Amino acid sequence: MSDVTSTLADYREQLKNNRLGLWFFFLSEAFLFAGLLVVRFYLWGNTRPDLDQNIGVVVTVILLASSFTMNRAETAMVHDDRERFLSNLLVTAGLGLVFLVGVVGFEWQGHIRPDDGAFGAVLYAMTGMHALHVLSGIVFIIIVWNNGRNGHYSSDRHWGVEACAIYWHYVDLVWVFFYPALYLMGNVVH
Amino acid sequence: MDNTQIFVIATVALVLLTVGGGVTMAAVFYLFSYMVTGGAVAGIPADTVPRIGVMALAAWKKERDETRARRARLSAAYRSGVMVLIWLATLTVLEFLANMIGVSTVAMFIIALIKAGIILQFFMHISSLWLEGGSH
Repeated sequence: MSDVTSTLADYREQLKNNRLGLWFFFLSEAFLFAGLLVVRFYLWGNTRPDLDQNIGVVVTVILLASSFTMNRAETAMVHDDRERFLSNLLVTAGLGLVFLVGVVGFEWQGHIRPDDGAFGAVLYAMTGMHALHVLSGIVFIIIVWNNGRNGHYSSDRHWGVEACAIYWHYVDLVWVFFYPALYLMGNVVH
Repeated sequence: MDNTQIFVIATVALVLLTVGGGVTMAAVFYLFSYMVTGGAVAGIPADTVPRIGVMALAAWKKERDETRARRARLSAAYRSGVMVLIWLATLTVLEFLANMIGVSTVAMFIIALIKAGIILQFFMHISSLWLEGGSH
């Protein structure tokens, strides 16, 4: 720990700046995802391709469940419950992998291809960009898990855990809008 | 049935689910959280008072109370997570069913906004940006 954050008071002051920086990052990311949503409504209008509804709802539930386990991991860290913290992190990463398999391994193997006009382009751009964030979130979780295993966090100092958790919830938040936009809104035409 | 009627029905259903289902949800939530946390609050075993001096007894009682308070806080935090999960799952199911009966895009978007608000407040702790305090 550097001199800058040597005391708990300094650390908490630093924490406020860290949080603000992270939320500014989310704000910039929001423009990216909002742009993709705008493209979807501009190109698809009140229509949508015939996607597998079962895959859609299953991967959504899996992502929600992963947010829950991530919340449990963070709560465990705040209360110094290290064992539960580590196990919940692993479960979260596992659920994230299952989500990726559902989207890339199943949804992308459907009848719509990336070069399939506006439907293919928008579907693959939105799910692809989101899947990339899920993948980076999984890498983030594994790094935090490894640090946690080596005792790098405590109930007082766990910014890494907090940032990882908030990032993961952000990925879930994006899917909250992408799921209805891709699977539910509009009439099936393709 | 046109879109307006469906929208009204969905809105009424949402309100009924929120108000009428609250009690049921609370009961289910309590049972579920009890299972998840292993009854961390209600299941505190009766403590056995050790036979020691007055000062030591006071210290022991203080430590016991702190342990109980810590367990209660942990249990409440886990319970809050379970509650959020239940609400998100309910709204997702509602969203899925709304699609089946052909609810408008606006109604879908409102449900998504409610879900987003829950995630922002309870999972992402957005209020920690302007509230004092080191951790959440």
